[in-house]
Amino acid sequence: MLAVSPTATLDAMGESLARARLTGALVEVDLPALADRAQAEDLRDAALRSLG
Amino acid sequence: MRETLLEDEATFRLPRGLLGAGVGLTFPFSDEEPLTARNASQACLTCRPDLYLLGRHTAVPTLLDERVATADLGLDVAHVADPWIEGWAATDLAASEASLAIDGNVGARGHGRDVMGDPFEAVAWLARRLAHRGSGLSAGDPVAVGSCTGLAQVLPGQALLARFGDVGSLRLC
Repeated sequence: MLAVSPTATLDAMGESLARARLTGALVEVDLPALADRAQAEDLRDAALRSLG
Repeated sequence: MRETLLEDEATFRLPRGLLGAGVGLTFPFSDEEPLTARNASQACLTCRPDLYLLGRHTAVPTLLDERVATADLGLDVAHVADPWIEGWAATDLAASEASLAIDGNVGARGHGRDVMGDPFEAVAWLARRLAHRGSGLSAGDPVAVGSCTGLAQVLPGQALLARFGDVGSLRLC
């Protein structure tokens, strides 16, 4: 299992989510810590950028 | 992803974090910019029915809300798809019925219009949304419009049959 600290940047969290998307592994990313929907969209976009 | 889901040519392994499955459509996008559903129908060259597998990518237990689902890649885990369909333009996709049968029993049902009134409206909405954010769709981008059947719980060992009107069907065992 992969782990990302709560202080990780959105890019690092996005890379972790992207890795989960590619491998099927589950990652420890603290999604409830996101402030609002805009930040959630930023994280999703960071993951999509990482996926290329 | 394919390697994580297919252990061999005949066995499909359900991904961890799976919440359920639904049936929808995916369109490959051309180089035109759709702002309306009508433009979108002209910008999509073909389509295919998809079996959507939705779930989480995170191991942290948390209440599922809009914010969490958005960040978690829209809960998009995998798509099981037939080949692209030719000659689909004569089909009224909004009026077509979609269904998901589990072990021979239809467990979820809907129509193309259950996605924003028209599947092409979903394509147009995405194009407008991306343009608003300073990006856009590129030629060849596949656009999945979302499930027309909602989400049905699926379990290991079940046989799934997804149908979308006359457009096509696909089976997953």
